[in-house]
Amino acid sequence: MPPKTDQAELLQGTLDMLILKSLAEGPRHGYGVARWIHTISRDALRIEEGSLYPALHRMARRGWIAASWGQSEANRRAKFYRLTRSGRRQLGAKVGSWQQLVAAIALVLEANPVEAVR
Amino acid sequence: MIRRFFNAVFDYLRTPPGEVPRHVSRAINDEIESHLALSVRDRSAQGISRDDARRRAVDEFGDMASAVRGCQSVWYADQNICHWVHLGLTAVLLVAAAYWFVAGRSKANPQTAAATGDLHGWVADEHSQPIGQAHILAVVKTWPSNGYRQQAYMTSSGPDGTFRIDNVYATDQQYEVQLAVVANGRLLESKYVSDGSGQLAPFTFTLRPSAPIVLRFQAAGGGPMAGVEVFPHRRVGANGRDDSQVYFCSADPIVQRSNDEGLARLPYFRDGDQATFCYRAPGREWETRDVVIPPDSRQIVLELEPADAATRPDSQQRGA
Repeated sequence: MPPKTDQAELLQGTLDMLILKSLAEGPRHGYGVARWIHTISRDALRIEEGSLYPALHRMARRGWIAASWGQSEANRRAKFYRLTRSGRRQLGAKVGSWQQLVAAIALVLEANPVEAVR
Repeated sequence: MIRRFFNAVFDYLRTPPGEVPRHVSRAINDEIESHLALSVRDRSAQGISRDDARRRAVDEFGDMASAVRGCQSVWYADQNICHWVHLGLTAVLLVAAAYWFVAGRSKANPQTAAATGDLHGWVADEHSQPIGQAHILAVVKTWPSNGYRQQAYMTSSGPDGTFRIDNVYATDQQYEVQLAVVANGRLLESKYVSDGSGQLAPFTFTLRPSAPIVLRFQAAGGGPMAGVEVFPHRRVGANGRDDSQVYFCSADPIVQRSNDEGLARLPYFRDGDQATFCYRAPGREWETRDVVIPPDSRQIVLELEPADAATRPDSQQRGA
């Protein structure tokens, strides 16, 4: 597990993509989304929970995710989110864009400085 | 989507401006409290005391007020759309109401909206000398929006005998005009224009001398009746062809009252004319009386019965 001081800083615009991905396997409530991202990233990524819920509400308004009330593990009323068809398309598009970005950055990082001059 | 749309409209309609509905606030709070409860549960499972777990959960959550505002701003986004739609519909409604009001007034008063036709002409005697101070009484009939409208106008001829009444009919619409001229010591004359179109040509009235006719109103017992209102309504010449009228609705400027001797001067007829007078005794309705002007007669006595029925002249007759 990378030290907390080395935790990767989330790039702007990736929060939506991570949230959509967290819901790809099934409905979760907000706490579950945050925990899943934290766990899957091996503690490298920690979402500021204060930003999570506005993002969830924003994506619900756009129709990428749908919300319904249920019962949490703590036996309390909780709102569960699930991915919609539109959300799946958005996830695919965002993952594709991300991969293109990562590939481009990798090319830059691996390049011989001389080759960059044309 | 449709359900969400109606929920948004319903929230907009029932929520005062600047406020968040209770159900929205409650839902946001419940969601955050649920998150904190789960966080506390997980920490408690690690052996942390409940109070400590709660404190850490709150710290980890971050700025809770900001999170609530962030969630509310998403709700406001829907309300803003409703607000702009509301403003747009209100603006459309105001424009439609203004158009309806203006259009309605134009239709109700087509003469002021589109009228450009004038009445003008010249009054002279049999020697083509101008007659000033002649009463010009006009009645214009129009048919706006398949209805009927009758409007009276009045003016006087100038020292040069000319007269003008501007803007009384629409030149591109159907109209009819009745014009009567009443001058002291001159025969009553009138003209009627039916199926009028475009701008009317100038009228020319040649007024011939009349006899100094005086009416004397008296009661059944022979006593004079003062204060009787009277005006000349119709003159048919002895030849039967001259037929001039004053419409009731335009007669106001020429109504006279009998004096204490019951006398009223109406010098608008001559010997042999069939004259129709409109008169109204005090406290009674308007009535008409037909009289043939006898030769060399200068005073015509009209005896008023005590219980004469009211007979209002037909003010919508067309001129011959």
